[in-house]
Amino acid sequence: MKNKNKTKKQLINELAGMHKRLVKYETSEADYKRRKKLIFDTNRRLQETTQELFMAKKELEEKNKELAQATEEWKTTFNSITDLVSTHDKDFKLVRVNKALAEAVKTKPEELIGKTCYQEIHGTKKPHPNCPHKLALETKKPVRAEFFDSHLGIYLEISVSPIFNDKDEVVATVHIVKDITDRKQVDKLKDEFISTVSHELRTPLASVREGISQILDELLGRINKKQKESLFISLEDIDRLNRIIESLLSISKIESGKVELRKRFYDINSLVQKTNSSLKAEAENKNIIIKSLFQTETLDIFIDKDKMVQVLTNLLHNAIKYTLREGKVKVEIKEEKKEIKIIVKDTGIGIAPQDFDKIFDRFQQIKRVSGPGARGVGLGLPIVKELVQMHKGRIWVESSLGKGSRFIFTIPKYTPDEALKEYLKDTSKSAIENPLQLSLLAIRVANYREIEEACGENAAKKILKEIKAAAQETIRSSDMVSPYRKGEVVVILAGPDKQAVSEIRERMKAMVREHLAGLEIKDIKIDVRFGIAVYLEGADTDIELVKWVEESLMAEKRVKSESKILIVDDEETIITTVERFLRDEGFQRLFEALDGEEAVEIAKQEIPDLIILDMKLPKMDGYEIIGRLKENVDTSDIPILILTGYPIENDKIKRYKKIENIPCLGKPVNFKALSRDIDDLLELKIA
Amino acid sequence: MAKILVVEDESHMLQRIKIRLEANSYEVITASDGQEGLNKAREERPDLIILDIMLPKLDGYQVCRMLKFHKKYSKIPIIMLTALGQKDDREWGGKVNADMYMTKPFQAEELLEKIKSLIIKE
Repeated sequence: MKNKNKTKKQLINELAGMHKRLVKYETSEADYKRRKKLIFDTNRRLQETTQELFMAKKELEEKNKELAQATEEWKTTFNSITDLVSTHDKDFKLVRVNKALAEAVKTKPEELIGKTCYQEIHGTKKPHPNCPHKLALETKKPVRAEFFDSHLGIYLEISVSPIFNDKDEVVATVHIVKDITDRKQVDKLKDEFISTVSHELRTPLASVREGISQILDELLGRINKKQKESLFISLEDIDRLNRIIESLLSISKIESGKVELRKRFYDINSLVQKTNSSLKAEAENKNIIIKSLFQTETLDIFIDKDKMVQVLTNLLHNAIKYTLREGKVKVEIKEEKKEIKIIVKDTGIGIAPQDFDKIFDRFQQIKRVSGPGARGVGLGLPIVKELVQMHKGRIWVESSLGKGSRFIFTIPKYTPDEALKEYLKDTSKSAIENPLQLSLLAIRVANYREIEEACGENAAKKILKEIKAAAQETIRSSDMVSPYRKGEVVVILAGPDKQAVSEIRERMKAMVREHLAGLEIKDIKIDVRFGIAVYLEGADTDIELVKWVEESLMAEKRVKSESKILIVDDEETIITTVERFLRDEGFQRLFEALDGEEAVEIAKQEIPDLIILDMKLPKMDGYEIIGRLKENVDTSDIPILILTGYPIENDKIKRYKKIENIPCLGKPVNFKALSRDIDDLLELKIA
Repeated sequence: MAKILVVEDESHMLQRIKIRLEANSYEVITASDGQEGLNKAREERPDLIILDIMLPKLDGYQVCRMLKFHKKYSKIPIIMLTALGQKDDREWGGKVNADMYMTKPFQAEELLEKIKSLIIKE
């Protein structure tokens, strides 16, 4: 019977129905017995059902208790976590907040629920543009970032994880914020320790070395042959000592994660050549020839130059060390689809297969080779391996005893895009401690295509190479030069302020001019344009930076059609000519003024991006106009280009040229010069 | 005869460098702390400065920055001496603009070559 699933009421109704039926009919004794049994059975089932209901109720109570217990445990755990934990919904409202977070904001958890996180926690009216919660909502992926909270004076690490519903939409995120000031402190101490040891070991060593070197060079009087030999040996020992200190410092830096790669594009061929020549003397001592084999004249790869030199020097040094007299050492570079392969070959004593892996382990010296300077401390190859792996490359050895060895390592290839992104990522990381200002300089060969067609791809490429070299000479090591789109070189400057950026730009222009002066390409004048964009806020995440770089580089096209130019001249014909020219160049928003009053009025109203100004005007002359513009705070920054019929040698104008940096062109108008100057003035304002 | 100012607080090192430079026909003036180095640079207007980084009073970076960002002295070439082995972040993160770097211990020939190349430029 299905009594289990029936309610009490239903059972009672059934019973009533049965009773009714019982009463309806005349019954016999057998009938009566039957009916009595029926009632008894029904009664029993009712009891059973009641029992079951009772058990179910008890179970429910048990489960409720467990749930309450679990909730209590979870809540206690949640509130005991010292990290600041919170859950935020799509609208930035706080859903759950742990005690630590509430305390950090000096309030109670209940006070925060339902309010917006940016208001309650950051005290702002809008979310931060780089808010990781926003990012997690958009990308649907967990986000992690480190930042310095200047308000509380501590370093924090924030980890945001999206929470999905069954439709795979993000409905909320969990935030965990950790105080990592201690970790940063320890890092700093490690840093200082390494610096101190470095300094304390190297300074006396330097003094001793120079002292011996000076005696050997007979700067302090003549010495005899025996004395010379003895001192020479001492010098070698000092150099050995220095190398050991180097490798110890190297490995301890790598161990403590203190080594950061500073990757830029470098010509690996020239690095190999430099390393080869630095080890030439050592090789010649053993009558060993060092050769190199390259596939192309130059090969730019994205590497940390100093570390790569360390790797190459180490491998070459080993090759020489383990090759007995009269052998060959060869460095070969091969470009493959996704990586560059560098092979250091020697005709030395070789390595047994069972040692192929061991040689990369620390403090292993597989075979003691006799001879001066032969012993080392067994750190060279482990360091090389670490450095190669830090570059995301691989290293291995192929060898057979008595026949020589080949050490092969790979470096992945990077497109300019990828390289730039990585550079920005690293820059934004180090920007955490010092709010970093980034500036972007785009150097473009405006007639690149023309030159390519007229003189060939190689000539055009050569121009870019010279521009890159010029830029590289001007920048410092924290900056980066990178090829970008066709005919373009992008320079990212990390750190300098606006004024320094302008100075660097001028220096770079001069340097580029110098480099290109040597290249006379047929009869085409190389038209190089310089554009600047300055990122004013502190760099927060690399994603934002990449967006900014791309937008800045796209800005040029926007700039022209959106730029407002005011032309001031009392001669209509001049205005018409200049306007026609400007429209041809892509400028659309043009204004005109025939006299000074009008000019100042329009300037104040429209705040143009550039004013082309004639000097001889009725009522108010050019100088007065400039004066008025400079007085007014709205118009004082508008770049001015003087286009005048007056001889430019006029003293007053000279003064303007020098002091106010206002470029001056004469009439009749030289449109090429006009175009350059306009580009120049406007590109100063890409930001 | 070209004049070189050497700013180094380790007296042994200072002595060594002085001997080496004088043996190569340079006139040498010395300073043993940053402030003295800065003063002497301004007074004596040397043709080149060899500047150690770890110095008392003012460190090498500060001295370098102050000279390089002053129109009057910015043209004096500066070689910075570092015991740190590789280019320290501060050198680049800051606006120091030293012309060259030498790590200790160094090879005398290398130092002399660098000096020659910088003095010729001027």
